[in-house]
Amino acid sequence: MTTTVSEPQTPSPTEYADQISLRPYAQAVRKGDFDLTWFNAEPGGGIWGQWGIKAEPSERGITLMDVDRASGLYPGPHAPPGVTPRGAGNEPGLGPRDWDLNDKHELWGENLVTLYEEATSRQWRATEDIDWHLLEELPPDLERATCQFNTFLTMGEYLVNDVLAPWIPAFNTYYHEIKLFLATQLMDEARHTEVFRKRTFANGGGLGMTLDLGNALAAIGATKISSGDGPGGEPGKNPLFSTWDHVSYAIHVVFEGAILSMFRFGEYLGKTDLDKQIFRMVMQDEARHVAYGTMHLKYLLDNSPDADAQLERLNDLATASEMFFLDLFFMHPATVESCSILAGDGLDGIEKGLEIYKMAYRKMREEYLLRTESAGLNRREACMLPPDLPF
Amino acid sequence: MATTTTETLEFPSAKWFQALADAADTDAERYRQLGMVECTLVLQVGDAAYRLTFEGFGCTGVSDWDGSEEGVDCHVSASAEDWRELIEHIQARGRADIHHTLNSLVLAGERFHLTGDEQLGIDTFYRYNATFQAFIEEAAKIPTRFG
Repeated sequence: MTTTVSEPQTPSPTEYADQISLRPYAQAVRKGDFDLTWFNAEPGGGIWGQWGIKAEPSERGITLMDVDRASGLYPGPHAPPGVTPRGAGNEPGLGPRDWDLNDKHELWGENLVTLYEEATSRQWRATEDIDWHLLEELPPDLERATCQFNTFLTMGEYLVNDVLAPWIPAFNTYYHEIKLFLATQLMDEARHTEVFRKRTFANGGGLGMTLDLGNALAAIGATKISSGDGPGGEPGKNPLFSTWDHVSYAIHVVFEGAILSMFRFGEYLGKTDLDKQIFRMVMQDEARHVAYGTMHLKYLLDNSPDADAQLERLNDLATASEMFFLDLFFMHPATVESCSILAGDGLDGIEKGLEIYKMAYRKMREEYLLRTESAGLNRREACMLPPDLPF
Repeated sequence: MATTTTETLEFPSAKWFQALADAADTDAERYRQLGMVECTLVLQVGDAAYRLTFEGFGCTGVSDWDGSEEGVDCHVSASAEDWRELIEHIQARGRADIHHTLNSLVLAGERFHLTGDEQLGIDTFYRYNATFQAFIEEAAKIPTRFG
């Protein structure tokens, strides 16, 4: 025998209007008896935050740095459990809320606030801010190589978003800076996907071959979200994406560092003024992401209560990340060959171009090592990225 | 408001680089659209070197470099002959072609070199690259005499 449990029925709009009109607050307001708890609260008394703060605008306007300076509300090492914005009071009876990341060392970088302001200031539009009229017809081999390179970058960009986006709700709102900065990064990556897609369809070509890079990252992202791994769940099976420290290192330092080098190389390889312009713009965005990753790594290693264990974990992660991205990235035939054709000014120059590609790889590797060293993680002896590519 | 010079200026000199900053000021809306910059560059032209400070939306300080690395994010250096070739090219074309952008030149690393004490400082060259490219292309507006 089965028992049917009747669920509360949703009222009709008329019934609902009748119900809310009987609420005590509605009845009181009809008598002119307003609540005004928030209005009458003493600043600093628990319900209201501060009062009398006047942040002064600079030439740029009012920045978050100006607000912190005026209010003195700099972030402390631990966030309280709750949804309270830093500096606000709480509605009486407001309960706690758990967040996955509540400690400053888990998420902070000393450049985080300024990078957010920089990100909002240096936003651009792929539709209007790129001089599309500067596009010139290219020989078929160069157009095909350009489109393949852009196809690879298109995938990489939106897959970064798939990995990063689920982390935003993991951060305690007390540290609004990281939530805001990541939101700008998501917009950056979206714009990059957009501009590379537009470029492939703008000059007689089209999107090229999808690489394993896309499948591998997409699979990781899908697994993480559907299984509850990562933010809010158990540590993921893939160490690259199981904790924020790991995500930030793998994405911001290794992946984005490599992509930054690719964008610099893309600017160098660009065969039209338009291609140069696109890569200059995306390069700037990517450099911000790398700057956060580097400074977060430094802050983590300088402030983690278990710095030695953290260093060991990060070294293990770095080893895995370096191999992961080398295989799916710098060694992939479509990446090697499209870049080499562009660098060699055509298919006939592919071998000459390969030497230039290898030069760019060496620069990428050196910049990666210098970034990790400056953050306190010396990878020079242990780095799995070989000093030169094996061809 | 600053105006673009009609005086012929010697390159290299602090006055010449100041003229770039003034030229950029006359197009302030373009630089505001490119976005804020916080960076100090040293541009080395052969044996001469100049310190350029970028704050807000433009270049706010130009001086002869005193050799101090304090506050300097990165250096871009080349021989006087290579700088001259770059500037004459920009002046002839109105802007750099695909072989003469700052990033292309320093990435190749054959004639122009990007260096700095720390990678994060060097990375500022990438973070503000569109601004720096627009800035050097102001050379098209500066009547120049090469020293």
